[in-house]
Amino acid sequence: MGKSLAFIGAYLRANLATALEYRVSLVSQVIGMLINNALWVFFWALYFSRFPVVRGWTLDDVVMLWAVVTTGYGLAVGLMGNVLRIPHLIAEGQLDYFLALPKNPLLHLLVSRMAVVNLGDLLFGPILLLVVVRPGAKTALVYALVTVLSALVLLGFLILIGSLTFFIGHADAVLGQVVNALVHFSTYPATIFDRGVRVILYTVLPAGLISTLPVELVREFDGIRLLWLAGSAAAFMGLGVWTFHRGLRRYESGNLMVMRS
Amino acid sequence: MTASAVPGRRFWRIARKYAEVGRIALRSSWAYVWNQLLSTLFLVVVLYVFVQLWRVTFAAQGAVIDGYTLPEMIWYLVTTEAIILSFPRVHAVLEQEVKGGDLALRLSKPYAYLGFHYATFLGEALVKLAVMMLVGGVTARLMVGPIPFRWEAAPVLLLLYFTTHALNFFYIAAVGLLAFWVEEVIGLHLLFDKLKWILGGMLIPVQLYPDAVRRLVDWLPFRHMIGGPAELFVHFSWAGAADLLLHQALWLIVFGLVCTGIYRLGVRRVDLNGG
Repeated sequence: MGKSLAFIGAYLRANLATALEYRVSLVSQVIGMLINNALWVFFWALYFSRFPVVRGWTLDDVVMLWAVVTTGYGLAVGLMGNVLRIPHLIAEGQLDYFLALPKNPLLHLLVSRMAVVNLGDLLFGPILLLVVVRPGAKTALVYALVTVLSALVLLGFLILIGSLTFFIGHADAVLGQVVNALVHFSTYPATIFDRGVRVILYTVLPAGLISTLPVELVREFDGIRLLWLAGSAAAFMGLGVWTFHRGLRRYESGNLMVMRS
Repeated sequence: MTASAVPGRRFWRIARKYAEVGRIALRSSWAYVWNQLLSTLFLVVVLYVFVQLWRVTFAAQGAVIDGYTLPEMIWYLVTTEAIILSFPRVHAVLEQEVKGGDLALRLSKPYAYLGFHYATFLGEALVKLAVMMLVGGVTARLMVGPIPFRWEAAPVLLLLYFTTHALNFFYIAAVGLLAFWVEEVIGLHLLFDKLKWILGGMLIPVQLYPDAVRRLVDWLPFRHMIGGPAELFVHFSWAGAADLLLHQALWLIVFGLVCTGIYRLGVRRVDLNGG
């Protein structure tokens, strides 16, 4: 565990150092994403200026939702920058590099790239929290905890979906649509949906676990529901990792000669 | 042959050339129409979410909000989504051509760089628009039912799509061409694109905005790029169409000049080497 954390830390430092070499690009992408997210919050501010309460949700709740979802996305997709490229790496036979080295191939491929633009997402949550919500210590602590759990649910789900490429072949488009749907659903309170859809959003397409449940926990802390979120994070991570390793047995080398820089 | 006939003939020759480029792009895009249909799954998800959000909102507020019923609101959103989702990734293509050097190849061809891309993206966009309107329309019809549509307005709405596409093209192409100066334009694109979405009324009609924001929007071009055409689709009037066309024409001149200016400044920075 300690060795893995050191490995992740070393890769993140190296990735950040690489990104810093292209400083203008880094800054413009991060600021672009910060403003992009801020404009979404602005949209909600416009909406709630006209309709102050929607199924018990207010602007404050949606602001918290964006703080959780963006930072969770930044952790899962920004820092683990290859997670959305798993289908591509599998289909193109580009896992060979990771399989030949003495590190866990899944962990290695996840951390070997940083999605610079999503660092803006990573920063957006804390900035939004400090500037708009101005939470007390307890709220900030719960926020940090549920955001990490939310990121783990998302990461596990993305690994699971990406790993399906081992079994169904080229399916980037379909998988991309599923991921887009998850992200889209997670930026709205699950309470606006019918009961049937809500069941889906707390199970097979876990948008409710990524956004609504964490926000409800920040709003009103409940140990049982926290356990539920933690259990979901463990379940999705476990399922994702298990599917990836099951799929690896079916993997065929691409025999590609690739220059890695 | 009169003196005025020559420029006239030249204009039509040039127009035919770009129309041919657009036609080829349209046919090429049509070849992948099933792919396009698959990619509309996201549109269905987006519309489903909107229907839920607005159903809850209308249930709390009453049957009509600022002149919109629930079906009209959803058809408005179908139109804004179709406009936005039909628009190709212009900035990414231009950025790639500038960074990758393909621009140099295009410079040697007998067409204007921006004109070629405008025609190509229009061809692609028309196929996407047809698919988006079909899928979006069927989804809206099933979820909230139809709205009264004035079929005699269809040619005007199609014309408005062309001008809307041109406005969007020059706006985003200007961002893509900033790749002459910056390594990545994705950050700038996110900023400019979302600014357009929010202030253009993509997610909510501008009439529902607070007064101060609405006054600001009136001075900006974004409403004419998304919300304006969608408002006409739902609540068509000839006066409204004429007003929108006028505003679009004015902003088209501004965007065209800015985009051409950026292109001309940028292309001076290109060094061509043989080989």
